[in-house]
Amino acid sequence: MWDDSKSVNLSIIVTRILMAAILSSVFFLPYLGKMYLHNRSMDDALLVRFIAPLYLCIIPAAIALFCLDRLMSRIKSDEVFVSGNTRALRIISWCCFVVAVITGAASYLYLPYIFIMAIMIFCGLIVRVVKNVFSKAILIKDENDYTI
Amino acid sequence: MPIIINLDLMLAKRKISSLELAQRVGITPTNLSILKTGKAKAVRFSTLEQICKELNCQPGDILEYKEEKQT
Repeated sequence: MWDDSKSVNLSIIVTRILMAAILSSVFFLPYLGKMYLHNRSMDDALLVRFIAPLYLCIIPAAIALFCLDRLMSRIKSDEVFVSGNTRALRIISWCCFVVAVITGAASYLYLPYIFIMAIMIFCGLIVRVVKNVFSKAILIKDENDYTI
Repeated sequence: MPIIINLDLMLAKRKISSLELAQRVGITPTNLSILKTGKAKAVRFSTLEQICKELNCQPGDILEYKEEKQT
């Protein structure tokens, strides 16, 4: 039967698979980039300007996924409303904004990146709001823990 | 904090240990320690009632207000 514990484990597994995918993309991006350009009958000369922003995005993506993994591990250990989790969420939201800046700048070279920029701004904002909720929850929990 | 907890004083007067009071009141020794050391943020009336009952005192004997001097 499906329960919270299995849900947390699934989140951890998916996060780690994504971490492996992001790190292995370092080697596969040029090949995937060429395939994409060929499928759209675009010039191979565009390859560098197409994949350079993606390489830049790998760093904040890896940081965000690492923080997500730490967050999920703490949640698995029943450490939910702790300052470490708000710190992780803050870092994840900033990583989203950094990717938004990179893809926003890259949209000058390849316009569809603007859609990634918009999505990352939205994701960063949602994560930031969740971080605010966690911060408030920690204050309430603290108040509760110290009520005798 | 402006509210001072004079629990140690009452415990000494009534010659009861912290552990014994915690057991009688029904709270953990850790929570009683939090109360004694002034780290508590709030006290339930039910807890205060039990403490006063066991120590045979008034809330004012345990709680004292001292205005913080502004520096």
